[in-house]
Amino acid sequence: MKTANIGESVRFEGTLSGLEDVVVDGEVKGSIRLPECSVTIGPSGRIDADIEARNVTVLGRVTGNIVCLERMRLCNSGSIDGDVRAPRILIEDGAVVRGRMDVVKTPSSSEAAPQTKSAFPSTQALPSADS
Amino acid sequence: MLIGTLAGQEDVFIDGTLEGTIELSDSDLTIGPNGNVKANIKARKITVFGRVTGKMFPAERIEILRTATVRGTVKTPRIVVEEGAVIHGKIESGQDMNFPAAKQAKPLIIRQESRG
Repeated sequence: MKTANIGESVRFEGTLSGLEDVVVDGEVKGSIRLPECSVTIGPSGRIDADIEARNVTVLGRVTGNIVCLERMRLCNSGSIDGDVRAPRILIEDGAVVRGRMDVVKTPSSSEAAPQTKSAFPSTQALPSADS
Repeated sequence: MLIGTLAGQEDVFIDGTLEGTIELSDSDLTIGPNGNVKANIKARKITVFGRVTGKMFPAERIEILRTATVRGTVKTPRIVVEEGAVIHGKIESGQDMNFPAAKQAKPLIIRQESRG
């Protein structure tokens, strides 16, 4: 699978979605919705957003709720200020956490963050430009 | 099965059932794979292989291993969670909490056979 990179000097505001794995070394504000892909927050990455992804790896800072469909890994340099729902959670020594952790078999995004789902409709629901 | 307050200055290994309060401010607590503890826990270091429900306040660190099930609140300077561990609860971890000096002590062992 392809990987998109949000560089260290990049600031992004809005909803980040797509079908590629994403590495964030910059700043993202809003929401990240990649239910079929992996998100890596690099050591210099700063996220102020709710995240929904297949796999989430955190080496930087995250403020927001995380819904992970497979696996959440918080590395020793990472920090999370928010709630996490995932079938598998791994926290390395030295990581900073403040929030609820829930290990659930099938985390549903609607249950964890119902407000984000209504606020950011999926791209399929948007009217097409042609016709 | 033990019900009540467990306090002391020795390291403790619990591989049975305990309900109540655990206060080991200067020593370590290990909850074995057969351990089932419902308690508010204060210890220097907490290692969990089994089940724990309650509030946990390790002065130094907590290690939640892959076989563990933890429900409740954890407030700790350092935390390790292995992949596969089941957690339901609030976690607060950070470096800003103080670390008491490390000390070695012989463990006190509580096994399942000690029931009845």
